[in-house]
Amino acid sequence: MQKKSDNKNLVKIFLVFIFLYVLLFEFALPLNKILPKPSMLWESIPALFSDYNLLYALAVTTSAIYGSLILGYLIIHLIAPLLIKILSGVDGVYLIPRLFRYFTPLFFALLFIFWFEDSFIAEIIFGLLTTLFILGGKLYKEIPAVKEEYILFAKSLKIDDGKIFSSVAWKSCQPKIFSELKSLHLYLWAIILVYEFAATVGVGGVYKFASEYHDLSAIVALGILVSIIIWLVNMVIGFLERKIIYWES
Amino acid sequence: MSAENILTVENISKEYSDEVGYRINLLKNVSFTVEKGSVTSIIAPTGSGKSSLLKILAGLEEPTSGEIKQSNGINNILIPSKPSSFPWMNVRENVKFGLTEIDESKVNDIIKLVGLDGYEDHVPHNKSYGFRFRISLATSLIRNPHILILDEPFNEMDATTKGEVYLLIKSVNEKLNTTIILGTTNITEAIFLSDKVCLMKKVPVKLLMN
Repeated sequence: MQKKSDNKNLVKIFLVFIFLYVLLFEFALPLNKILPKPSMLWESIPALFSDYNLLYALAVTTSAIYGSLILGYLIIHLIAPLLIKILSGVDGVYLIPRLFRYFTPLFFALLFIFWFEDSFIAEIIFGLLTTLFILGGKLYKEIPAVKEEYILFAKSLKIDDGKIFSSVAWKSCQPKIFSELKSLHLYLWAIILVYEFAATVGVGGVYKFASEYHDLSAIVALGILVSIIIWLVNMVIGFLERKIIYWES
Repeated sequence: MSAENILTVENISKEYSDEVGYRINLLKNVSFTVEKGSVTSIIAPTGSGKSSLLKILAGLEEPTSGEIKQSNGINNILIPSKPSSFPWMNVRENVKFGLTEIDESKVNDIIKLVGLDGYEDHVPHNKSYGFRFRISLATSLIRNPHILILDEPFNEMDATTKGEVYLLIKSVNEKLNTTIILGTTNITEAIFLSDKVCLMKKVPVKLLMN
C-alpha cells in the first residue's frame, strides 16, 4: 500500500520536474551550460546513434555488465560449496577483500587497462571479479544464517553434504543473494562506465567523447538513456525475484 | 504390541564447552528402553538437554559417554521442533528429496496418509505449522525410519491443528507400526499419545572444568 502511494508520488514529482525543466530551459532561460534545451535534448538522441555509434557502444557495455552479472551468479551457484569451504577452512582468507576496500574502482580499472589494454575480455573479467567478490561476500555472510532446522532435518534424512549445500544451504541463501543483484547491477554500471571512460570504449567511451566535444545535450541524453536501461532491468530482476524466489531465507 | 526392545539407551551423558570455554554437563546418566512399534515420550523441562538427547538418538550428535544399542542399526529420523520442510520445494518434491529410487505409488500413499493429497503441488512457504509438519512427516516416513523422533512438534500449533496432528501420529503408529519417540514438555500430550512416558530431570548445570 505504502509502496503504491510512494510510486504515485514519485510519478507526480517526476512530472513536476519535467514541467519545470521544459518551462525554464525551453522558454524562460537563455541557452546555458547548466542543462540543454529540451528540444536540443530530443534532437541529440538520434545524433548519439549516428555520430557516436551508440548502438555498438551499448552492445559492448551491456554485454560486459550483463555477461559478468549472469556469469558471476552462475559461477557462485556452481562453486559455492567449494568457495565456502575455502572461506571457512583457511584462516582469514575471507578478510582479503577488506585489504582492497579503500581502493577506488578507477584504480582497478586503470590496472586492468594497463594489463590487458582495452580488450573486451578484460572488461568482462573486471566486471566478473567484482560480481564474484560481492556475491561471494554476501554468500559468506548468509551461510551462518541458514536455519538450523533445515540442516538438521537434511542431515537426519542422510542427505550428503554436497547436496545439503546445493539444495538446502544455497537455496536458503538465494533470496538474499538475489536481492543483492539490484544493487550489484547499479554498482556494475558505475564501475564499468568508469572502466570504459578510462579505456575509451563502450558507453563510457561515448561519455568521454561527448565531454571532450563539450556536447552537453549528448551527456544528458545518454544519462537519461542509461538510467532508463538500469530502471527497466531492475524491474525485470524484481519480477524474476517475485516469480522464481518466492520463499524467504 | 511386541515387547521386543528396538532401542536401549544406557547411561548417556553429554558435556559441552560454552562460549568462554567452560565444560558444562547437559545430560547425566540417561537410561531408558524403547519397544518396537511403540510411542515413547520423553518429558523434560525446557533447557534440560532434551533436544540434545534426541539429536544423539538420531545419530546427529555423539554422547560424551554411555551407550546406545539399536537392533538393525541406526536409521532414525529427527523432525526438529521448528518447521523443517523446505519452502523452495512443493509437497511432492519435499517428500522425494534425496531419494535415489522413487516409487511414485508409495509417494502417493504416504502423501495421502498424512492428509496432503490434493496439495502435492503446493509449496510450504507461508503455510501453517501443521501443514509443514505433515510434509516433514511424509518426507520421513517414505524412508521407512526404524525410529521417528519428534522434537516438540506441537509447540506452535493451534488447538485444532494439535488435535488433528495427535490423531495423525496415532494413525501413523498404528498403520505403519512406526516406532516413535516424542520429546515434549507437555504431560497431557505425552499421556494421550504414548505407550510409555520417560521423565527427565533437569541436571543442575555444573561447571566441570575450565
